[in-house]
Amino acid sequence: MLIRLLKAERLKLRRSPVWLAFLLMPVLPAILGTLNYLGNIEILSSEWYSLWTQHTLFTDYFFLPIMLGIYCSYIMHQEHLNHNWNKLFSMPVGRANIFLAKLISASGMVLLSEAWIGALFLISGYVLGMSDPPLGSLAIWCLFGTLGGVVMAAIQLTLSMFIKSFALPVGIAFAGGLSGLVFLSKHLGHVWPYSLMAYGMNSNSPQELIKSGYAQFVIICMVYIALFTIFGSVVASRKEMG
Amino acid sequence: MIRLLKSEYLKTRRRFVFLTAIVMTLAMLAWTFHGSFKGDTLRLGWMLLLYQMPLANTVFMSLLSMIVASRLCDLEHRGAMVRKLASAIDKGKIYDAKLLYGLAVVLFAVVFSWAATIALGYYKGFWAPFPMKLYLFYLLFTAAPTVVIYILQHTLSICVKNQTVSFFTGALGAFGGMFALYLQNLPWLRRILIWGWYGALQFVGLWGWTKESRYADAYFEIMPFDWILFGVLIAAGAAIYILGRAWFKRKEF
Amino acid sequence: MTETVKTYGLTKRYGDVLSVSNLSMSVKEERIYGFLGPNGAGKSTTLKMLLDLARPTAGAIDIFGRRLSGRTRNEILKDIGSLIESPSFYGHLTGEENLRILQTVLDVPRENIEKVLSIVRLDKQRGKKVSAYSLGMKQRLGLAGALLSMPKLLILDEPTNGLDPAGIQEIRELIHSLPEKYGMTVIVSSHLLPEIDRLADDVGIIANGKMMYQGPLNSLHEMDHSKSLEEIFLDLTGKEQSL
Repeated sequence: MLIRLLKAERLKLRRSPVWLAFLLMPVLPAILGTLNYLGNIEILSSEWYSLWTQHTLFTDYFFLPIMLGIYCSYIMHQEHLNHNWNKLFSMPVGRANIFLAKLISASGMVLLSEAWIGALFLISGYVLGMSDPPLGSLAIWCLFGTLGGVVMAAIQLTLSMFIKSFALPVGIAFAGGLSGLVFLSKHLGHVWPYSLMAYGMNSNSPQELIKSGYAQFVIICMVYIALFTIFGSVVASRKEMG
Repeated sequence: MIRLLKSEYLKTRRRFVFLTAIVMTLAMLAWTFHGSFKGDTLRLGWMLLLYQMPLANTVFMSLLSMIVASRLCDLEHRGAMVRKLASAIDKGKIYDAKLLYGLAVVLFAVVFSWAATIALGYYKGFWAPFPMKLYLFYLLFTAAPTVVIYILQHTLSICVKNQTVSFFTGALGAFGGMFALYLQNLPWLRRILIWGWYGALQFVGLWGWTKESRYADAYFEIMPFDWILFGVLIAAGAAIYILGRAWFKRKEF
Repeated sequence: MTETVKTYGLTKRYGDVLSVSNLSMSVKEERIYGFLGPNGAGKSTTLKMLLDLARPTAGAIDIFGRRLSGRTRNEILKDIGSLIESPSFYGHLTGEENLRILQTVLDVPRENIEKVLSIVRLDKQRGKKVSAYSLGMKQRLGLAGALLSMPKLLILDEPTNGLDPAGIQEIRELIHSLPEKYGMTVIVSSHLLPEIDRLADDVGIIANGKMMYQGPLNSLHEMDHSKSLEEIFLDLTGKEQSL
């Protein structure tokens, strides 16, 4: 059942090149971050790690949250338009599965952008003539960033399902990203849902990796994902097509 | 036109457009004033804000424009109202009325944040004198890019039904603008990007700041205003308006 | 004759407003049931409850002889096709792609898409974006979507909305042929008496959320020979209610 819903989600995205934005967006910080790195090469001495900070600093707090907010709004907006919930909810599939299919589809997009950010990072490093990239750390940054991103996607999908407006949830995502920065600076980055992506990607202090420990990070993310999936499914199943 | 503007107001009831603007402006102020001001930063307060606010405006004002424009236009798309309205009124006027209404909202936010910034400055006890003339220029240099960005967002939101287009443009633009400000060694970047103009029109320079001494020996200097860029900005605003309006008039709904 | 749909004391309250009140509906197998009532009488709300789109405040629903509940809903909905309120569609996709999405979720053979497209006569417009469809074409697409799984029960809410006279005639003939051709049971709602008069075998008349009459259409004609069907209908629904 879930597989069929996932296929349907993919079909719905045809002819709407939202993925293009996710492809374009990380290119900007990659180019500019690299240029800035070149300009300040005397101060930024730790090579790959400095470059990572340059690449991801704003991405984590501002633009990935907003992009994700837009993407989730888009997915739900399609259903808000033209009475599509009526059709979707009168089909012989569980409402929880409908939400889950959308979450998985959004998670795929998060994973893709993280992988793309990672690839761009490697490319620019090699272009700058660096060698021995910290592949292990990079994999962890991207994977944990994805995990934190999925938490955010689960929240945004719930909001966008609840709020019919396209713009409002995006505004919340923006505020969420900012709050993520605040909580991170107050050393609560490992528990605040909107900080988790930035925390996982470790763009502030890439050398340190995760202080709270991998297991704790994964568990917290999982708990949030489960919590919001259940909550989102409940919102879906109580939704009345009045 | 008055009737059209009034209808815009009636349409946006219960859509909390002004509230959205106020909330985002408050967020921006909280963002700017969240650190504690003491000693050197109090002494330099007024100038420091002139130095820092353009960055906050780049992010908040451009995203606010994106959100307000989309909220105002999306409600027409949703109810397929453009078709209905276009049969009764000249489409150019629909474009204008919506634009004016939206501009009123974002300019309200600009003035509100400006006034609140000054009030908060006094409240925090920034050292006198308060440079009124500079703040008036700052107001102008904040309002002008906001107007241009709003015209662009408005055009995208009203012409392209799929709001992801205007949103991704706005988000990418704000992102680029922010980066342009951050990259001090690439001054051309902020001048070629509409969203970078908040930074390009910033006229306060900071000297003497180091990681160790912070603001102890720092001082600000007034740099010459970039009137050429200001002219470019006005021209760009007019061009986007004319092209956008023509696009909307030609478009079939 | 077995009953495909049966409701017991079905009630729906939205806040203070009683939208559907103690409604007992009985739809017999392979018949066309006309669900008639003025605008706002509670027709759509009732149909939504049959489709689990709205939860009854009180009462129960049996479909295909099984009680509709959270556990049985998927099994029951599998055999129902529906078109509620306005047609649902994704405007940026073509008509065929829209049906492809439904076909994927419903897990029915792909050939069904061809079949229903030709049934509703949309085969020529299949490659056009639905946002460019006329209202009538959207309505046909909605009908195609409802027929896609070749369901045992078809629920159509005002299916001729927005169609031109020729289209209305065509859809009417189509609906008429369904019980015989495919063994379907059909519930059609309308606020127009002539519509139902030409189409239905049985009729349920609802006003202010209450069932005013239910039974074969013929019997309604027999009720009072001195009055026209129109007058009987007005008597039942309350004269002040417009049609």
